[in-house]
Amino acid sequence: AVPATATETIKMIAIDGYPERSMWVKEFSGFFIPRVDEELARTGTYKIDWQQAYGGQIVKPRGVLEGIKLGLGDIGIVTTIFHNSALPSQAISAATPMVSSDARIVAKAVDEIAKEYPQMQAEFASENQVYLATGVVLDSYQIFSKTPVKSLDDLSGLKLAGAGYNLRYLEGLKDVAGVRGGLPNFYNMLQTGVVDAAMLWPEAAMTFKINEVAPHMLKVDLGAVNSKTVTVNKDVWDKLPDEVKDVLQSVAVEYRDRVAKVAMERAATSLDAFEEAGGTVVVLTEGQRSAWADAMPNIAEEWAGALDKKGAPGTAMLGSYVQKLKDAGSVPVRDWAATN
Amino acid sequence: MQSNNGTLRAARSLTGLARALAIGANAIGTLTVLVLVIVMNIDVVARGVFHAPFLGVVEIVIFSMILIVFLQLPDVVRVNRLTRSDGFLILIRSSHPRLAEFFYRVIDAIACVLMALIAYATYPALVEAFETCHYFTQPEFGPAPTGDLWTDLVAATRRCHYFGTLGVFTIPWWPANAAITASAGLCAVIFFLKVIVGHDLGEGADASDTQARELRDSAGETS
Amino acid sequence: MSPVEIGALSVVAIVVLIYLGVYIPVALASVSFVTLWIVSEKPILAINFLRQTIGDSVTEYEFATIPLFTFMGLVVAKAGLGKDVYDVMNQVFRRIRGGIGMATVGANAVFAAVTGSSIASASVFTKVSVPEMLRLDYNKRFAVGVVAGSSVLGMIIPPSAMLIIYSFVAEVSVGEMFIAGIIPGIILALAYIVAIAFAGRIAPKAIGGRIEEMPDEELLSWSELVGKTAPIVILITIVLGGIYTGWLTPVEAGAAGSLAGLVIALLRRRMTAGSFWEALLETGHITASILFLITAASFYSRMLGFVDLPNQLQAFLDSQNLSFFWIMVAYVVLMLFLGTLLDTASIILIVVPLFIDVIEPMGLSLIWFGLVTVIGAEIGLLTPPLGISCFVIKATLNDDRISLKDVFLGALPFAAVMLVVLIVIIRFPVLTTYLLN
Ligand code: NA
Ligand code: NA
Repeated sequence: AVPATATETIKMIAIDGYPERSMWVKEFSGFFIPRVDEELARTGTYKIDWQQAYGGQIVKPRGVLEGIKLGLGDIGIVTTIFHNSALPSQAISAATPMVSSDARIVAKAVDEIAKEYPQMQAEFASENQVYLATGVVLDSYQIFSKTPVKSLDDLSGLKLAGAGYNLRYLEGLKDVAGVRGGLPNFYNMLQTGVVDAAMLWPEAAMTFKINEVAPHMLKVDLGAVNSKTVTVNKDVWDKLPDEVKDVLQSVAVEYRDRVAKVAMERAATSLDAFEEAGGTVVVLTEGQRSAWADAMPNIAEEWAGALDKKGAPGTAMLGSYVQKLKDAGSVPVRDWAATN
Repeated sequence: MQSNNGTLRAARSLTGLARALAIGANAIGTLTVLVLVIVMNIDVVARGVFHAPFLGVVEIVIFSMILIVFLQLPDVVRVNRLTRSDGFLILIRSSHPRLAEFFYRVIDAIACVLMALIAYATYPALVEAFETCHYFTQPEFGPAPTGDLWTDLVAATRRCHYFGTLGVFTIPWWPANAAITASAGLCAVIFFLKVIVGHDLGEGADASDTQARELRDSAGETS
Repeated sequence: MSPVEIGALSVVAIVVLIYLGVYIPVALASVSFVTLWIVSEKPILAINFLRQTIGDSVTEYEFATIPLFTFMGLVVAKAGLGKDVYDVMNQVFRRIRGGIGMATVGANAVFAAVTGSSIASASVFTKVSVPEMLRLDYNKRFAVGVVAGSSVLGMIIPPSAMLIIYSFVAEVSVGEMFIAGIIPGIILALAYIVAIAFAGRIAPKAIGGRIEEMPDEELLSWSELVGKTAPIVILITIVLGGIYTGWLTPVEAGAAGSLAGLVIALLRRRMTAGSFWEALLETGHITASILFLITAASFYSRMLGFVDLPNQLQAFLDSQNLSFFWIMVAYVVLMLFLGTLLDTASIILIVVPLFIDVIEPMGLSLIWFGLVTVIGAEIGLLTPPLGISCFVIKATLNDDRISLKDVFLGALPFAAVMLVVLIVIIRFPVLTTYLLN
C-alpha cells in the first residue's frame, strides 16, 4: 500500500557543458535519473523534480566544476582532465599508463581509491562539492597513423598528435615530436600532414572518421583513463535527507559500472567498424611495449611525489591503486608503484 | 557652490588618474596583440619547418586573450566605444538636449553599477587563486620560506593554481583574475566619472564631430 | 509569474533598453542579473553566475581569430588592396551599362575574402567608387546603394567576425562556418550583378551613367594587373586555402594572414611605426568590445537556460505543430524587425540562444542555420532607421548633395535582393554545406 504521508519534492538542477548526445550525459539522463526516481518511489517519501541543462545551457564543459561549486547547478558531471591544478589526484590513471585497458576495472579501482583515501574527496570538498562516482568513458589510447607502424623504430621521426597528459608518454621515445591538438582537429592535422599519427581511442577514431586519413592502428594499449566525476554541490548535499543521499550514492555506483560497460561495448564495435572500413590493426609486441614503458619518465612517481609534498597520501594511493588493478587481473607492463 | 566646485575639482583630478591608468593598461593590452601574432607565427614555423612544435601555445593564446580584452576594456569605455545603438538618443538630442543629457547619465550610472557588481563578483576568485600560492604565508605543507626573496617568490609561484598540464606547460591563474577584477573596477570608476563630469569626460570635443566618430567607431566593432 | 514568463519578459526588457540606447552588453548583463535574482530568490546565485561567466567566457582558444583577422583587415586596408582590386574590376566591366556598379560588387567580393568587417568595405569603397560613379553621371542613389549593398559581402564571405561570433554561440567549428560562407557569398555577389544588369535594361534611369571609352594608355598593362592582383591572391591563398585544406586552423590562418598583410604593407611603404601602433590599438579596442559583448550574451544565454526558456519554447513550438516553413517565416521576420535598430552581432547573440534548441532537434544543420542567421541579421545594415552601413557611407562621403534618405533608398533594392538570396538559401541548405563534404 502507498504510505499515507505526503511526498516531499526536492528540486535539483543537473548540469553538464557537453550536449545530451554524449554517451555519459545520455546515460545520466536515461539511466541515472530514472534509477534514482525508481529507488525513491519505493518509499514515496521523497521525489526529485529534475531540471536538466546540458550542452552549454548553464555551463560550458570546463565550467561544470565551478558551476557546481557556486551552486549554478546542484548535481553535475565534472570533466576532471580540465582541472589538473584543482584536482591533481584525478590524474591517477593517466599517470599510470599500460596497466589496464578495461574501463570497468579502472572505474572501480579509481572509485574505491576515492572512497578509501580522503584525498580525492578533499579536493572536491575544497571546490565546495561532494564526490559521488567516477566515470571512465574510453577503453584505451592507441596510435592511429597514416603509414603502417609496426614497431617503436617505425615511430621514430614522426609527429604525433595528443592532448594533455598523454603527450608525456612520448617523452622517452627517440625523435618523436608530440603535437598538441583537440580531438576535433585530429582529422585535419592528419589529413594535411601537420602530424603523421595521433593518440586517441577507437570510438573517438570512428566518431571523427580518423580511419579515412590514418587507417593504421598500432595497438599499444596505453590504457583506460578516468575523466568524469559526478558531484553534488556541498550546501545542497548537507540539506538532503539521508534517504536521498543513500539512493544517490548507490545509484552512482551503478552509473559508474554502467558507463564503463557501455564504453567497452562501444570500443569493441568501433574497432570492428574500423577494420570493416579497411583499417589495419597491428599489435605492438610485449617486448616493445615494455621497452616503451621503461623509456617513459616515471610520471607515476612524479605524480605521487607532488601529492606527498602537499601532505596527501600520493604514494600510498598509487600503491593501492596498482594493487587493485592487479587483483582484478591486470598485468602491468611497468610496475609504477615499485620503488626503485 | 563652494563645495560643488570642490567636488568637480576632485572629479577632474580623479578623471586624470583614471585616464592615465586606462591608457597604460591599454598599451600593455596592445602589446599583447603583437605577442599573439608573433607567438602564433613562431608556432606555425617551428612545427612545420623545424619539427618542434611549441606545446604551450594554447595556454599563451587563451591567456593573452584575457589580457587583451580586460586590459583594453577601460580605455574602450573611456573613449565611448562600448557597443550601443544610440539612434534614439541622437534623435532626441537635437530637440530635447537636456533630456538626452539626462538619459546619457542614467545609462552610464547603470553601467557603473554593473561594472562594480562584476568587480565584486570576481574578487573572491582572485583571492582564492592568489591564496593557493602562499606568497606571504607558510603553506600547510612543503618547505618553509628560505628568506631569500627571489627563491621564495619562485617557490610560491610554483604552488599557484595553474592552467595547463603539469610537465607540459603551465601558467599561474591569478594574474588573469587580477586583470579581470581590476579592469571591471576601473570601468566602474570611469562610468561613475561620466555620470559626474559628463559623457565625454569633459574632453570637450566638438559635438557633431564626436557624434559622427562615435557612430563609425561603434559600428566598426560589431557590423 | 513562472520563471519562463519572467525570462520572456526579460528578453523584451533587453530589447527595449537597447532601443533606448543602453550599452548592449550592459543591457544584456544587467537584465539577466536581475532576472536570475528574481527567479532564484537568491542574490548570491546571480552574483555567482556573473562570476563564472566573466571568468570563463573569454577562455576559448578560437576567440583569438577575432584580434588576428581584425588586425589583418586593418593592415590590408591601409596597404591599399581595396583600391587595387577595384581598378582591376573596373577594367573588366568597363563596357557594360552599370559596369562600375558591377565592378564595385566584384571588388567588394574579393576584398571581403581578406577583411572581416562590412564597415571596412563600406568606407573603402565609398571613397574609391562613389566619386567615380558621380563623375560618370550615374544616379546618385544607385551609386551609394551599390556600395551599401555590396558592403555586406564583407561579413558573409570569410573571414567574418559574424561567422566567428555565431560559431561560438552555436558551438560549431569556426573553420566550417568560414567554408560554408563561400558559396552564399558568391551567390549574393552574382545576384547583385544580375540585378544591376536587369535594372539597366528595364529602368536605365534608375541606374544612369554613361560609358566612357578608356584611352588605351589609361588601361592597365599586364604587369600592372599582376602587381595589383598578386598580393590579394597570395593572402586569399594563405587564409582560405590554409583553412580549406586544413593546413592551418582558423587561428593560425589569422596569424599567418596578419604577418603576410604586414609584409605587403611594409614592401609598399604604406606602414609607419605610428600607423602600425594604431592598427594594434584599434585591434585591441575592437577585440575588447566584441568579446565583452559575447561575454554579456553568454550570461544572457545562461540566464535563459536557467529559467528553462529554450526547452519551453521548443515544447511550445512543438505543441503548435508549426511547420518548418512557418518557423522560418517567424525567424526571418523577427530578425528583420530587430534589424531595424540593432547591429548584426547583437541580433545574432539575442536570437540564436532562443532558437538553437528548436533547430537542432529538427535535424537541421547548425552550419546552414548560421548562414541564414548571419545573412538575415545583415539585412539590418541596410534598413532604416538605423542601418549602420548606410550611416558609414553618409559619414565617409561628406557630400551635401546626397542625403541619408538617398542612401537608404538606394540600398533598399539591394536589401530586397538579399532577402531573395536568403530565401533561396533557406530553401536549399546544400548551398551552405556543399563545400564541407
Ligand atoms: Na570577409
Ligand atoms: Na537597420
